Amino acid sequence: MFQSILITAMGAWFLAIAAGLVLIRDAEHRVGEVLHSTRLTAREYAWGSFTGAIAAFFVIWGLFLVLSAVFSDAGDAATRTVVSPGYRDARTSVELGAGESAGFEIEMDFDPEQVLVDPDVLVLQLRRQAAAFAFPG
Amino acid sequence: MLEIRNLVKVYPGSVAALQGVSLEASRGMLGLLGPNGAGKTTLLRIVAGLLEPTSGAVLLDGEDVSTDPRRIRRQLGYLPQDFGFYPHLTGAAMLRFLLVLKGVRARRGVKRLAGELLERVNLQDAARRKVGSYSGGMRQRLGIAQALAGDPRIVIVDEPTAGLDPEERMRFYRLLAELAEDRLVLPLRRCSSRS
Repeated sequence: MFQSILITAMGAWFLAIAAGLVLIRDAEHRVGEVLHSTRLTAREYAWGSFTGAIAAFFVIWGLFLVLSAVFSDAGDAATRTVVSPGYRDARTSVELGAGESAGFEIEMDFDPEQVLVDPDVLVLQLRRQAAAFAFPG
Repeated sequence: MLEIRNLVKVYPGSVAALQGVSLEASRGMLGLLGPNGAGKTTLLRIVAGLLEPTSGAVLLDGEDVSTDPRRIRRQLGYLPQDFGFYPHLTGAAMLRFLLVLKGVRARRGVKRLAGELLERVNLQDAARRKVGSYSGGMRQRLGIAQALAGDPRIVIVDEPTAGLDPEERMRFYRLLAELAEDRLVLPLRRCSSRS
């Protein structure tokens, strides 16, 4: 929630700066006097600059999303783990306190080749090999 | 008819730029001549609807322009004293942009009209060059072209020949005289108080 508000606020801040820069650029190029002698009102000028900045922002954002989606898919395809077509698994969970033990059953309609236990992060890191049990034969 | 009634403009700090200016004009050329600080630009900016007077009124065909500045802007060609353009646009593109903002309707298209206006101010060969590469005189001529767009009833030109070479000055004065035949042209020219 806080992250979303922060990102929105930062986006609005950059957007306001972008819109303000348009007005500063016009002042630097001294085009204001000519523009204001047209039918353009001060309100239309200010809102037009702001709308232009928003439109540019959304175009860039849209491009970013499209390119992200395209390159993300390409990346996923390149690094995706290929799972065997016959792969099947079944899972259960048991919650144990320190030093406790318990029996458990995993319901499945196939013969398992391997049982993998994921006790906690510490064991996964330090004793990963101990968490795997292969059936003999 | 343009009517200026008892126009007063006092800037902050009690600087009175205009003190009860009144005049009437319908067509022809009405030159405003005066030294620096005489209030010429202030007067023209009020007429152009870019500045509000402290008191008094500017009437176009009997209607106060301050109530609807857009009305006079539709009928106004204005060349300011100090102006610029977007340097990254070509002369033709900049002019087309201003024609669209002015709401100028051209029977044969805005592009064609822009070309004709550029030809009128002798800029046709530089139409595709970026404005940033224009000399001061060329920028001035582009400013004149945008002021002439839309067949305005009133043409206000503030120091119009600044930066133009003698040949271009003569060409521009001829153009102003031609325009003044059927409309009101208000050229503003600075002069020293001794002359």
